[in-house]
Amino acid sequence: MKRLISSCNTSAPECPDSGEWADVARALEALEHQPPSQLADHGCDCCRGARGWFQATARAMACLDSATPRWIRERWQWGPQEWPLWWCQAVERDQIDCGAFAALTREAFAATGQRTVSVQLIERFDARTVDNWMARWSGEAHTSWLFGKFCYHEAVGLVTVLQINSHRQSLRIWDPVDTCWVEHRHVAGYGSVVACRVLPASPACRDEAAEYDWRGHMLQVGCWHVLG
Amino acid sequence: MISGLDLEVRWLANLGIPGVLVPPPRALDHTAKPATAVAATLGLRVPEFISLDEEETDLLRFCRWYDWDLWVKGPNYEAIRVRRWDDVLAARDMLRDTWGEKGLYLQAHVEGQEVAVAFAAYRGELLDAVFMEKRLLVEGGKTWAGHVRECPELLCEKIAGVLSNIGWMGGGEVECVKDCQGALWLIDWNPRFPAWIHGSTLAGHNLPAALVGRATGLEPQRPCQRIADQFIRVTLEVPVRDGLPLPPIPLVRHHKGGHSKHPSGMPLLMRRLSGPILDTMCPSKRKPSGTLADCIQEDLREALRDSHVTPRRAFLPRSASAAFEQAVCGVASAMDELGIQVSLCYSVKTNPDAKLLALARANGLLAEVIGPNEAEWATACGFALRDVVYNGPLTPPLRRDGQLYRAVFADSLPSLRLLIDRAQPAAEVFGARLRPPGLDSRFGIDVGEPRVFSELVGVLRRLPSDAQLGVSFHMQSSTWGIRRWVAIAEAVVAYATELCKASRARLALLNLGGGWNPEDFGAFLRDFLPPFVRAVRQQQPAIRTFLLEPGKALAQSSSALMTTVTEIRRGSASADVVVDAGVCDLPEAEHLPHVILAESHDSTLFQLQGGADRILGRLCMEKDILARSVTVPDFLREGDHLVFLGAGAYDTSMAYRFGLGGSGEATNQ
Repeated sequence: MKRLISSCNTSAPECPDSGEWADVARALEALEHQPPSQLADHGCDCCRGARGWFQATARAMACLDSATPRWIRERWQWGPQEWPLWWCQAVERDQIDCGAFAALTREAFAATGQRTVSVQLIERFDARTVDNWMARWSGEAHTSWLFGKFCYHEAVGLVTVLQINSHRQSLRIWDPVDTCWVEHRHVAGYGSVVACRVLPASPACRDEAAEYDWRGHMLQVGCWHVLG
Repeated sequence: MISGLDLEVRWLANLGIPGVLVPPPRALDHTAKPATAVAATLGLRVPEFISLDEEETDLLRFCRWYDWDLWVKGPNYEAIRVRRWDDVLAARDMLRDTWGEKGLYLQAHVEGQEVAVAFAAYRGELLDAVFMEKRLLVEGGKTWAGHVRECPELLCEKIAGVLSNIGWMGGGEVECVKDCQGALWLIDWNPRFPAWIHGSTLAGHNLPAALVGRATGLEPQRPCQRIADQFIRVTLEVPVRDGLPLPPIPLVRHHKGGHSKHPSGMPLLMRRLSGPILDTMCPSKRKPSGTLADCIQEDLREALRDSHVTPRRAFLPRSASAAFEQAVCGVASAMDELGIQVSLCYSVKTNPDAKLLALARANGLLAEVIGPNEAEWATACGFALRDVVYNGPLTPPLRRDGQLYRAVFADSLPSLRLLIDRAQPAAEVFGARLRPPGLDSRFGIDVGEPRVFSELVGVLRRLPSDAQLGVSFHMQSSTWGIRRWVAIAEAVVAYATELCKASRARLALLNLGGGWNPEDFGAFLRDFLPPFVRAVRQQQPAIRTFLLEPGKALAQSSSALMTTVTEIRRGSASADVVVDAGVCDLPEAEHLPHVILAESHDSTLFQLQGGADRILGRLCMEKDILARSVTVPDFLREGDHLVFLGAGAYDTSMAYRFGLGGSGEATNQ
């Protein structure tokens, strides 16, 4: 827990009580070494074709529909899946989880020339909601993303403003499952973000900034930031 | 007294009853929809609009220009989103039936987030205001949930300035759309508190209380407490005491006009108020009527002089030539700028008249065909097969003479496989017609499906290494709008690029087509084609040739339908004119308006203006209405001529013989 930064106070923090705090701490510990989800590639025509189709569709939909890739959520349902997920499987599936949504969304933004980073979130819900997800996931995939009232979620950071002569870059965080900007969501209560971490879009990315400005907070890459 | 109904506010304002907290009439006039003056003062944009009183050809141009994403709006109530001409007419008729004739307009849609400012003012003094982001909207655009925030200071100051200048009294709402760049577009200025006003009170801003307190001098008994910045609406069923009258049992009947949606009686009030009170509303953005080009006037004079037999389709040689020459000049200018080859194609199906094919050939166009019969017709009209582009849906049969088409595009994967597997090639360039996702079309290969995309890659890999790949895309620009058409074309290029990458094929040719209105094609060549071609070449540097098939842009003005008035039925409010032609002679009249000319007794031609009169055809069919919204000139008598312009494309090629008995002559000449 030494990398935990708890000083990022928001305008309306809602600090977890001591019982809840244990769940958040458990989540942070469990997720300390959790990398952002990546789709796997067989390195042959099956995945090359699938990825080519996806990139073409991302560029086409940017022309036809919207600057944000909402089409991904319209095409795929949210639900359990097994990992690893290969590109050739992903395009044929009807249902994917938030990690796959985030991976596809990063690819879609990149296909239209936009820079992204991975964003990991811990969100607050309530016991009934989490129980429901637990039941839904337990038969088909692991449930290690659920922690009491809290759950792990993956989003996509869109690098928006490059400040010349500075390492500071601004970030907008896109929730690929709810198809909204996370900064537009409420800062407390059901569905609020309790903690977040920014990581490079892929392990191969070397040129990301060390920190990003999000909603007036400086988010250090690789560190969990507790928001409330 | 505070009113919550727009029309009632206007009525009360004109009564001038003391103690009624409504704005003065001049304030209502200043903020009447579409509220351009007040928007300018507030620094807000207003989406482009046009009065629905304008001529239908002007309305149609407006629809095309704004990509067929528009709203039909009334001066007080209701806004109906429309995407097709039939929708426009239906929405207009429905609003007219409900609210009357005045003040209806068509407004361009702006994509973005809906927001609103609610305010209360007393004698021009702003008492309080809140800003609300709409979070849930139900059918009809009603706010069902929202997030209330402090009104941005600058906007609040500007609203206060406007209210002060016009002496506003009462509640009000400024409804806007915030686009993706953050700019605010004024959609409506409503002269009363919005229905969600209790949401403002929950957020600690009781605007009605502030208004009443200021008007009466009474302080509220309890200060307004902030409970929540967010609200959601619920509806409740409540018990009704025995003996209280419910409305009478509604009859289920086919809906035609009228509205059960307004139990408040507002449509009735609208009819009562129609007259001077409403005459000032919704200023029309009237454009001067276009004058007819000299070549059309000359052609028409000749056509009318030569024969008075009607109904008759008159070929207009000067107009036809002018269309081809303008297109060729427009392409030449674009090519100068682009340094690439852009070839025009003439769509044979649009009008297979040999005179038009001769013009196409004389102007250096290729012929584009949809089947073997058209290909034979094109060669019979003098085109070499290498100047013919074959664009399905039928797969071209094997040619025994060994000649090659300039290009052949398959409409499906089986068709493409067949073409590639033939020992003898069909064309210099092979290719496929693509359909990107989200388009309601039966044509082209559905590359939006990954399995289809993957199969297509496999088929393209079987192309010989020296083969030249072509990709075709055809959609009617006139039904999608120019910008939307370009966006779809860009989407097709995105797929073509990935297909080439995956199959290692080389894209040599792009065939773009489809149904430009003659008025739009020049603008497309000048303003849209150059940036599009540049963007394509960035993705596909090897591409050498663009084939452009403008469809009806070349043929539409080449003929006119001459008719004779057989009867005029003048009613108290409108007139019906019956002519000796029908929709069989002008099949596009069902869906699209035409420019119509009336010949006066001194042979001068007058263009019919917009209005409430109709022109009916000669057929015993309900749909035989050639125009629905024109003004019949006073001078028009039975035996006079009406001329329908722009009848040279599908109005000619799809005309059919009907209602003429066995010995009548077809009008399709």
